[in-house]
Amino acid sequence: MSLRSRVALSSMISTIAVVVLLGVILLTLVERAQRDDLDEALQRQVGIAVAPATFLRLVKGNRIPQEQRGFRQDLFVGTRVISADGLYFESVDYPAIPLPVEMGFSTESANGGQWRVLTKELPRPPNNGGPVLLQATASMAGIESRLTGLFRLLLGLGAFAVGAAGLIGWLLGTVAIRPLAGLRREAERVSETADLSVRVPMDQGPSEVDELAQSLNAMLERIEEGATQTQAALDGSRGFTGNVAHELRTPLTSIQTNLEVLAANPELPVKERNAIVGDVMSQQYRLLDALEALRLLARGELAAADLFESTDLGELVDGTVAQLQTRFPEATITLDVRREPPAVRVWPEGLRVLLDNLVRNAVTHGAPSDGGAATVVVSLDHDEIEWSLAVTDRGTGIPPIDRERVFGRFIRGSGTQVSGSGLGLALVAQQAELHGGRVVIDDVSSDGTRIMVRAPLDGGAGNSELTG
Amino acid sequence: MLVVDDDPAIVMSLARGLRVEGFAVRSASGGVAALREVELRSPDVIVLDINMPDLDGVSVTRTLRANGEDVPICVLSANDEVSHRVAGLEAGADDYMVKPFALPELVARLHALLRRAGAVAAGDGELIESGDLVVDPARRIARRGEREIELTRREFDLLEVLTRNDGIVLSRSQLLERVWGYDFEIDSNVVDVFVGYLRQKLEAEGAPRLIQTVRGVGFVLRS
Repeated sequence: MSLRSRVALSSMISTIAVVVLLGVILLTLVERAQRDDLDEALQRQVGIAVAPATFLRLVKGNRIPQEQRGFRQDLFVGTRVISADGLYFESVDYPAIPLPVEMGFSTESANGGQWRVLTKELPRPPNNGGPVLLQATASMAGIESRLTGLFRLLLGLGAFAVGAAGLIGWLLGTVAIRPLAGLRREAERVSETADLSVRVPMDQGPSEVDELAQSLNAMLERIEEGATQTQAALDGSRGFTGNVAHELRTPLTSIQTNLEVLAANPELPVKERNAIVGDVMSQQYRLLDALEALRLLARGELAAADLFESTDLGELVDGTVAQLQTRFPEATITLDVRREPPAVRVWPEGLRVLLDNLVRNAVTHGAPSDGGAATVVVSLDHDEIEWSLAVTDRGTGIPPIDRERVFGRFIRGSGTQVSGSGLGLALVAQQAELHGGRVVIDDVSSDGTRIMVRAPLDGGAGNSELTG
Repeated sequence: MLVVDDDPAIVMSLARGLRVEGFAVRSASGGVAALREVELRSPDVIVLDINMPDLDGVSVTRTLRANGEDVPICVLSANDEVSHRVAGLEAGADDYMVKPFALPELVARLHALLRRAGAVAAGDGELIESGDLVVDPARRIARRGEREIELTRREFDLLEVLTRNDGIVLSRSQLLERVWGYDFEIDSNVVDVFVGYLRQKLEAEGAPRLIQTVRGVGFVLRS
């Protein structure tokens, strides 16, 4: 149903309600006033009949005075006397109101009409006989006809009012939706041109319509943003997929070659055979590492807010360091908790991945140049607004020129001797960003590297922007 | 022993590798088949994949434990779950390994679990108490105050060791040795996972923390 019809219909319905309510009240009041008039007349009639002179005349002449002072001819019908022995006298044409009678006022049906009846006991009955009752009756036909007339009048007026309300509603509705029609034309322009940068005007109508225009614009903005992001993600993932294919193909090719050598030369000397198997295994590990890193990156990109939970960072870091120490028994990994941070909302698995990659880097790249075992210090600290997690090694360090680059995907530091997936620091950067923080690389001395992650204590994340 | 996985390539290579290591290996290709095999003849140890289409490893573990089967179970966890809430351990499995894993490490753990299972005997019947915690090794029941705490076997063993050493800090490797029988270093956070479970159960209804972490050292029960 159109808005205009709705406005017209609702104004009609409310007018009907008002007319019906007023009509009922008016009819009730008029009916009551009329009946009170009638009752007063009956009281008077009975009062006159009770007067001894009148009563005597009444009994004697078997007649009842028809025209008394103040009576209304059209209402009054007559009086009736009911004696103790059941005999009675009554006016001419007195209606056949059945006996016994109720004392006081009542409304009775007789002779095909409604009658108002007042019955009273004579205070001093003549000749010491039994009680004598006096009854006066008036027709209610007058009231009924007046009420019917009034009802018809109300009906007519009501119908007119409802019609008028409908018409006015329709006209008002037409005026009210004019700005909406304008908005629709603007919106149609967006869908016709498929141009998401178009915005509808927001200051041309009543406040409700302007609010709608604002919502519409906000929606357009979100859609435009989403479309842009999707496009960027698509572009990014095309390049990324290419890289992935290349990264996986390299170890797979090496494995295949090695296996083919093994298959073709069953009599290979043990020493050579062992070397090939060792090579296959290391390529296999490299493959798995790359896959695992890719899985984590993908998961980090989808990291939903429900992965974040209130976490005791000290506990988490302590457990992870203990596990890393058993994984790299030749290295010395120590934990240095400067100040214990309060519970923070983080993605525990994500932080474990972050620390895991930082320590793994420190252990593989951070051994001192003289060839000794790596010494890695993991330190946890916080200030008023941020917690920080730092991993320090005593290795060759990262040249300043590489410090931005190493956080990219499939990027290995220049001059790196050790083969890795090239994804470790990308994972670290991603996690830092997910937690609303950042990664800083700096030198602690002439050699050695400290990589520090700082992130806000209030979590600041769980819904942060995705890494590109 | 029984190897359960729905991927035939994994079952075949794993069974071959374990046979070479001297295990008598039976295999099942799914959860339902695994339960049937166990019913047929109870194995000494089970290697159980978590993700299986018909009946997953968690359900298999739960069913076996509900039937009173206390054979050691090592679950093979799919990689994509949060590692401090390993599916299967809560249901009563003893250890977990993440695919892909190194065969020698699995072999070492299985040997230890087997030795351990053979050595498990009923406790000496003496109640061990610490604060409002009561551990009953004979009936393998733990209570905190009035509340009885339902524990899986490995959770109970861990709590028993911690309670017996009330106030003494135990390192992760000490706990691995005493509770799992692992007298070698392993790259796993299984102790932390089980400590997490125990804390959850012990600290229900807001009870104060019993198992404390000592940074860089290990865990201690202190009431």
